[in-house]
Amino acid sequence: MKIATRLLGLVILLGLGWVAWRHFFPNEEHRIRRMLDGLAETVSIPAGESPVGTALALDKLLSCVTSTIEVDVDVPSEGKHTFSGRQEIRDAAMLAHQTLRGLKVQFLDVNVTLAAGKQTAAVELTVKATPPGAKEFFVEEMRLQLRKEDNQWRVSRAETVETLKL
Amino acid sequence: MFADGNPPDRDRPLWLRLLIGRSLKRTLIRAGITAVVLGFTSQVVLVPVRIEGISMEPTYRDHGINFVNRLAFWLHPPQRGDIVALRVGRWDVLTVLSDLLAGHRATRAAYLKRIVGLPGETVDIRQGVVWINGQPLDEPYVKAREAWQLAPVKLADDEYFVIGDNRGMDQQDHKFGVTKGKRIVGKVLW
Repeated sequence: MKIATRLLGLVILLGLGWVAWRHFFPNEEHRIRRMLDGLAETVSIPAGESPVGTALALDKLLSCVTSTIEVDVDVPSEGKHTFSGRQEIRDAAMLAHQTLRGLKVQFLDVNVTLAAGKQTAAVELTVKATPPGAKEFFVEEMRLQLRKEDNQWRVSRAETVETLKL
Repeated sequence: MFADGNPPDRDRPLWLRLLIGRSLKRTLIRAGITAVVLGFTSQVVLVPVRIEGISMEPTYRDHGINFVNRLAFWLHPPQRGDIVALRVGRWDVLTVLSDLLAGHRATRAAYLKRIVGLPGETVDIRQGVVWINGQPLDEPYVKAREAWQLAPVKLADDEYFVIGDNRGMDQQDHKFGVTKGKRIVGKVLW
C-alpha cells in the first residue's frame, strides 16, 4: 500500500515536472504549435469587433507570415483565390473583417514535420471555421510551409487540400 | 500487519472503499488496462463522433452522437447507400496518442456522407436527382430536393461519389463530390 502510494506520487510528480519543463523550455514543434494556436485566434473575427481590434488583428496576422508568403486557397462558396505577399494578405484579411460579422477559427489534427536543420517545417492541419449562429461550418484540410525568421516561426506558404472534388 | 498489506475493509471510510476498492495496486492495474482497451477501441475500432451540421438531415440531426466502425470495410469494399466517414486531415492514430500525452487538442474532423457512386461509374445530377450510368437512382432517404445540377463525372477505379441526404439545401452550401477510397475511414454504426 505504502509503496503503491509512493509510486503514484512519484509518477504524478514526474508528470508535473515534465509539463513544467515543456512549458518553460519548449521544443521547436511545441513552439510551432503555440504559434498556430495564436494564428487561429488571430484569424478568428470576434462579433462586433472595433476598428482598433481589426487593426491589431491585422498587424498580428502579418507578423505570423513571411514577406514572400503565398496563399492558395479554395474557399467554400467563393472558389479559388491566390494571394502573394503581405500586402495582398492584409487586403484580403481587411475585406474579411469588413464583410463577415464574426468567425471562429480552430486548427485541428495538427501534424508538424520539422526539416533537418530545424529552420523550415511542414504542417498539415484541418481548419474549422464557424460563422456565428450558422448551422453549417466549413472544414478544410490545409498544408502550410513554415520558415524560421529572426528566431520566430512564420508561415511562408499555405494551400488547401482538396478532400472532395467535382 | 495484514495478510495482503491492506487494512480490513470495515476500517476504511466508505469513500475510500468506493474509490480504490480492496487493493490500490489492483485498482490501478485494472484502471490502466481499462484505459488502454478503451483508448485502443475508440481510436482503432469504434471511433465516437459528434455530428455537426445539417447536410445529412433528416437521417442524422445536428449535434447527434454516433460511432464510426473502422473495421467495416476490411472484408468488403464500401457499397452504394453506405454512410461513411471521410477523413479530413491525416487521422493518424500515433499523432492522436502523442497529442493526448502532450496535452494538445486531439479532435479530428470527418465528413459523414452517403456513397451513391461506385468506382468506374458515371454520376450526374439532374433537377436534384442523382443519375448513375444514365439511370435515375432511387433514394427513399431524401425527403427534400432543390434543383441541383451536375455535369457527368466519370469515377476512376479507386474513387467514390459521396453526397449528403439533405438535398433541400442550396447546392453551393453542400459539400459533395468525388473522393478517393483511402479517405474512407469507416462506416457509421447506426
